[in-house]
Amino acid sequence: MSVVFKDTVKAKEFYKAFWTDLINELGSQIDISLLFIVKDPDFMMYIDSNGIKIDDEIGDAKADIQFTLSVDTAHQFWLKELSLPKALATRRVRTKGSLPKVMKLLPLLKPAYARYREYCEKYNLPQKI
Amino acid sequence: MDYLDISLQLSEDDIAIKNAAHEFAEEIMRPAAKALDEMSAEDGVAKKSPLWPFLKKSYELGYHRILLPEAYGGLSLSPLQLNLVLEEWGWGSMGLGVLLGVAAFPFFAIALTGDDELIEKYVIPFCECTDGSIRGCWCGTEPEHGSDILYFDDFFKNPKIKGNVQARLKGDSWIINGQKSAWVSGGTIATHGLTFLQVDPSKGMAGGGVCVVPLDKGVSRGKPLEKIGQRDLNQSEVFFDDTKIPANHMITEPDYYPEMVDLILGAANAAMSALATGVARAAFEEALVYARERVQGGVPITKHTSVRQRLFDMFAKVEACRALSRAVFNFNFNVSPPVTEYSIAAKTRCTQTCFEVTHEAIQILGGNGLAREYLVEKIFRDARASLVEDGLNEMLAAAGGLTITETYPRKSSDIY
Repeated sequence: MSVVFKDTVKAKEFYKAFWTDLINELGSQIDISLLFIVKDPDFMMYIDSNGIKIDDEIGDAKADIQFTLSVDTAHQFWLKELSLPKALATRRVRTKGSLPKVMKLLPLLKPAYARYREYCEKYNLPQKI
Repeated sequence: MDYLDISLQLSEDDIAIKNAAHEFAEEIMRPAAKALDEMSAEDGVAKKSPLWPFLKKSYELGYHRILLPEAYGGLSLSPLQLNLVLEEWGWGSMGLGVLLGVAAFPFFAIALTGDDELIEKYVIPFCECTDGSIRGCWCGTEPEHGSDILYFDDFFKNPKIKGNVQARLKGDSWIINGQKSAWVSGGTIATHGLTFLQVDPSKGMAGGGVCVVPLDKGVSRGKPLEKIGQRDLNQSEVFFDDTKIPANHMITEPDYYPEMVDLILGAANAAMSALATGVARAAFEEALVYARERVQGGVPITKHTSVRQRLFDMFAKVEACRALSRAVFNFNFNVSPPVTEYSIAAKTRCTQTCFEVTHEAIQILGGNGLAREYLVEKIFRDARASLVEDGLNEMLAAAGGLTITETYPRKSSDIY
């Protein structure tokens, strides 16, 4: 049971808003597609430079990198409470997609950490787990 | 010698990268490796050694940054491209291939952390380096610990077993003391070490940490090791004497040290399998070229059935190595964390096969195979070393055996 999100609707709304904003900022810098398979609560989110698709909207879209993780793990990652190496080594985040592409993504995400905290405040989410 | 690549998936870029790496292996690696092999270990790292122009050329061409992301100045090669390059390096020289690989090791580990300060301080200067003056090594092996640090059986958590290098936190710094043993690849000349050490002795070897240590202060080295093979790969002890590093240089602490070791082993063993494939291919090619020219009984020895059979066996083994190595590489560099038992399978199988193929090459060359004049004499010795380095094959098999007895068959849904 997630300690951050009590229901799926709120989790989807939060992450869709967060990523939409990020994609608008990054523009063409995001030249790869991402699929998040999120657990507890369960939903899927597909992201590319064109925008966000959730669950059934995704259809047959193939992503360059697929991440499988719980929503609480995602929260900890964005709050910088959990490093990527630790998340990967302990299998809290599992990825499918070339490691160089995963590593290429990391520097692009730098501006997102601060914004994530702003979103947490806006949505009244805990900033520590 | 080029070979028919039976993969139909190679792009024009892949082929260009492979060809460039082959040219590098033939024109830069092999001459340097031959010269270093014939020198004493000490002369091999002396000022006038051919090692230095080799490193400079390698860095100029960007081969030190193949593992690193483009955003930091790396080449961001795909898993397949990495495998292609590593096979060519193995073909050129396994020892120098390992040296170039470990040169990037601390910087690759830092890049994974995403820590801005460390990336700015270490990774970007490493990627910008074109003269070989910034060089990493992997400080893993210890006088009382070798392949056992890769094997997470019950003894791994025994607090009575002490690490030979330990770190303790003092204020905002870690203080490191102890000794790494003589098999630290690149240790003689490295400027930075990705160092495995003991942080919490109460947890035994499981209480380890991984840190990045600049090797300029509070560090001394032993003499370069004289050894049977991979003599072009300098190795030495590294001694830490109250060596001080800032707290953020400890990139892994005991809470996930065993998992991190497993992750690093998964990547390193996969790389070893590609290098070993290159060595095996080099031995096969040398034997084939020799057999086509060598006349016995009035005909080239390729006319003899026994020689044909043996050459075919070598050819088939090289192809099998490449197939296994590429498949594992492609899988384990496309999922995180890697499935380490597959990397272990590739490392142990490819190095064992490479040893067998180099042995066969000597048999085909006969007495000439024992002479320094012929390349197979060197690569046989190099292949022998590969059975021990990056984990003794028997110990790796025991570690892999422990994993498969507990987890086989894995489900893809548990992996990604």
